[in-house]
Amino acid sequence: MSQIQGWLPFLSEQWATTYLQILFGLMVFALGIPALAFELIVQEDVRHVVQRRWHLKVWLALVFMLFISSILFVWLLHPLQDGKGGMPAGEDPWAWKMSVAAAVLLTLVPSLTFAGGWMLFDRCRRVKVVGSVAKSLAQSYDSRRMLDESDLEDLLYLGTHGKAGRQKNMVLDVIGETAAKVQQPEADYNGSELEDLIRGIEAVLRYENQRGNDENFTRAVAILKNIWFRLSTNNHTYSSDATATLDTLKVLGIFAVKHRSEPTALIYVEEAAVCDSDILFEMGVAALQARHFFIASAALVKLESLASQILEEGGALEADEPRVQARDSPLEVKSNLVGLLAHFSAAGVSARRRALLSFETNAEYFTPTRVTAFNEAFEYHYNMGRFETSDKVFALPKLLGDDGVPDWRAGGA
Amino acid sequence: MKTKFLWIEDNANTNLSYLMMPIYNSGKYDPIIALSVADGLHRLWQTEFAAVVLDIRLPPGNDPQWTKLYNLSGHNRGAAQLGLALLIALLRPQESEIDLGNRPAWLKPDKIKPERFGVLSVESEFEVTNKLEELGITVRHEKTAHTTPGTLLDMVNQIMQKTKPGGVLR
Repeated sequence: MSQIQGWLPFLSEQWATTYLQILFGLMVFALGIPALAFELIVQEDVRHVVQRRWHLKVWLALVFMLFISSILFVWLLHPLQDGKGGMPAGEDPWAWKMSVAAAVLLTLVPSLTFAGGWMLFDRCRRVKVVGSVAKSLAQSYDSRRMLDESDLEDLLYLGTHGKAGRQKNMVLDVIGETAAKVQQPEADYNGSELEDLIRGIEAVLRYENQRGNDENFTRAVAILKNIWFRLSTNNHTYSSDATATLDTLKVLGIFAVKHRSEPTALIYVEEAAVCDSDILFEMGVAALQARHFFIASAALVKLESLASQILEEGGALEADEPRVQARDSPLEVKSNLVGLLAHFSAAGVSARRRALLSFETNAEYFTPTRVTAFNEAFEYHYNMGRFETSDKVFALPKLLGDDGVPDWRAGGA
Repeated sequence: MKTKFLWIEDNANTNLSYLMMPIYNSGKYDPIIALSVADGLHRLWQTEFAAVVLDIRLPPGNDPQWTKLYNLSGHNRGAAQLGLALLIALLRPQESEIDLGNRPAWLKPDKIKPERFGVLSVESEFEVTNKLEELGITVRHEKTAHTTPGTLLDMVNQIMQKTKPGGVLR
């Protein structure tokens, strides 16, 4: 003990000043390094969310702690004066205790601040921020049976501004997990809780400065498909969540046809096939306009298949075979099929040949007569504001010939 | 209803997508694609298919049983031959180490018959013929660089011919 007493410097004014300077330096270091790292390494969108949420309070608490330490040092552990530059700490027990307290304070507080700052910085890693927003979102749903808007806003902000690939997938996974939680059978789901979450998927993938890549689009369609499957099995296919799901699937599907790879677009066609003829129609037309005939043909086959399910009474399903429900009426699916075939007919000889094959092999869907089906389709597309399609439907009878015998070699519309 | 068939092939959407165009142009079939063995099995349990064409070298997909089998082979699709393992699990469950769980009630036993299956794989006839013959699968084709676009359509037509009433049933 006496060795320590001899070793510790007496807390003279000179030493106190030195201590204070060191304390100030450490404060700058302890606060500055994490702050600098925060600015340099943590991406803007994560910083934005972190600053909006709880972490700022921790930061302020650390600063406050250092401030209090400084006050303590100056006012409670103030330098002892003997008028001659001080006396050895070992000769005055009180001075010695003060010296120990000052040394501990000087060592401990900046160390704790640095550790706290580093922990705070560590918590600013994207994966942890997304995880904590997801947890908060789940907790808000558990307690109030609705998703907290500010949590949702933070989640979508991170997804929208995150880079394509892993960063966007992280957010998409949370969206998928949240949807599964809300739609689970025992959750008393009413079909309207997820609308904002579902519509957020489009923002995440189509934000102009950070668009999603093929991997993100594939992940999103799997999520939408699962949402639709649960909507369908819960008889919520006319709910606002169902509309949001179909809208999102349509927008992303058309985007995929125009701007993403063929395999990705094909996956959208495959998944849309169990939901809605409108999406298949729009994707097929977009593919034809982009001259992606492979995708257009896939959309046509799926539309034909959907028509066969809806228009053939009972279909050929086994009695209890599970089927994901599409929500089209027979008129819609028939009109969309005629509409897409009209676009095929006007897209060149080869496409016209495929359209005419469809008219031949699917003649039973165009009832009571093909002309009636064309008229209905014309009215449907006209009333939907799709004048380009209704014009092409109008030209179909001429293309097929007065005798109704299709000839793909004849001139198109 | 348009005839649905399942194609379990991990390259179906990429370098083998050209095999799909004749299917689309025929207007006869609605092809459903599965990219892994787990995905294929999931689809089989969901929908009734008139025909199933599959590859032998399939990735496991998101299922622990298939993943384990794949890992045991040293992460090698050629060695794991998960497509063949799926066929054995479906057609000879007593010989399989994979438990497929309970078959859905709506799926009648006669729907899981060898006549409904075809194999389109890079394995040569010599490598897999015996195994496939033991399982009763006769529709098969070796995938090569010269595989023509109509191959898949031909295979499906063959399966349909064998299974349709009055067709050549085994």
